Amino acid sequence: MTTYDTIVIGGGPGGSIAGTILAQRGQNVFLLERERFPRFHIGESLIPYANDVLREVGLWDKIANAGFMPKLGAEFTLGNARGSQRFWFGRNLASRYAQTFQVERSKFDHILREHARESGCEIAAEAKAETVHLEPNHVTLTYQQNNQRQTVQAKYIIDASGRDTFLGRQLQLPKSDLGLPKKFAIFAHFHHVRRNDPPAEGHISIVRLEDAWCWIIPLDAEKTSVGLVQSLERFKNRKESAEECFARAREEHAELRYRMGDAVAVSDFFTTGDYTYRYHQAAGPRWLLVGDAAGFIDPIFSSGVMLALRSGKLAAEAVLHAAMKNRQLTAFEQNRYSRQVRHMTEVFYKMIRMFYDNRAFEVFMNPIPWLKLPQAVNNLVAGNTELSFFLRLRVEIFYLLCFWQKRHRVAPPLDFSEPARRTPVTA
Amino acid sequence: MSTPVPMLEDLRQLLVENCMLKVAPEEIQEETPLFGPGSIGLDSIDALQITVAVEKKYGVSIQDPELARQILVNLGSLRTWLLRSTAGAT
Repeated sequence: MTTYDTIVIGGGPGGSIAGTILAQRGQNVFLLERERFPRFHIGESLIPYANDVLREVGLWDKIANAGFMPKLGAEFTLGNARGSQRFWFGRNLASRYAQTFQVERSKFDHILREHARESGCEIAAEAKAETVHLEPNHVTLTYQQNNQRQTVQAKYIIDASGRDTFLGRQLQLPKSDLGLPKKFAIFAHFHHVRRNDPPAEGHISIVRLEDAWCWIIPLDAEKTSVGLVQSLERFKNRKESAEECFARAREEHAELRYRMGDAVAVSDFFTTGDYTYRYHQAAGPRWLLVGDAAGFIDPIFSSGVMLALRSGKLAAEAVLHAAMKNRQLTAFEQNRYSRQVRHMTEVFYKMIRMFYDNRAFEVFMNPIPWLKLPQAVNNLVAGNTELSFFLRLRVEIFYLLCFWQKRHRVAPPLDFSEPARRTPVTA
Repeated sequence: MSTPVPMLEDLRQLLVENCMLKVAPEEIQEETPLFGPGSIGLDSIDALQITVAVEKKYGVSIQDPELARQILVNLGSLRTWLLRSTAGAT
């Protein structure tokens, strides 16, 4: 039986970063990936506060030179096109956060995994983790590869298996759904989706409908990812197929008619249930959960890859620290890691709650400028989870106003209605 | 004659020509509020002037006062609306 310092389950962004950092510091790392790469995956928009991690492990130049669409900000528009809020990361943030990228995940994840390999990780492709045994001094993992069952041993195990939540299920860890309703997403890749004029052509565009929203993510010169997200209940009540539902939204809303007037799907339509969950504890004596394996939150603020990269880094650091002293993670270290992960998701969780509350969203679309709230909100949209005192104060004021808005309007009301179409202007 | 594409710079120019601006035009960003507290202080006369000028330049009329209130919040919203309208999507 082969033994390693650390086993990493999953070759997505979180697993690859954790594996890379550990291998760069001299650990023997075994990384298993279940799928055959390249593979399709959603979560195609990065936010700038993931940039630091990419730079630290030497990935930034590879990503910057891979032909991904530069993303300079985000834009939120009402479905009837009667209101829009555009954020520019460069306006309120340090220059290293002024831009990030929209990434086709098959390509992005491949670059990250190859970087892990070059850094020294041993990678088993199309290998499916089956069972794990935790013992005081080591962990044992059995997995299937090429119809053969194999066993490996290591001092630590990092679970980056995504929404499979391999360890969470194996160990039957307690989790919570954070009280958010189940969501349903319908998405595909398109050509000829209408873009913003430069320099905003790489912005992610969020189209807010009264009880649903769409993402529009420009991936490269031609391809754009478009998805429709609504509550599972709303989708079921409509009693129509996913593709019908998508087609109707595309026809009903002015903003989508404008964006997608000439659009043609170049992939199949995919659907997925987005079920929010979070494990109470993200680490044990010899195990840590990274990215979606620790918890999944609504994708509206493109937080998924950033959380995976940053938790991957934190997990690797926790392992390195314990390995240096050749011991388990102490209770203090386990709790600290859990707390760090929880803190990051909490920042987004609050924003997600705001986004789905139509009254609170009115404040988001028109934050009060003389209180410098737009700057604070821009920091949130960029994924800054370690806010300075003054920014934190403004964020608190922002949420206070969101709450206040329910009784006294501090921001103008938003109207989601789609008026009857006017006669189209002939070109 | 084809309809011009509404750019931020054009809309700033339109404000300069039709409103009594108390600030330098380059200070008006896409998200700068045009009306109300904390804004650049335009009034209802300015709003009327803008709608007339927009109709003349882009051939899009903004007669519904509720619509005017919504899209004249800032130049970003006005641009968004005009781009969609001139493309025939609204």
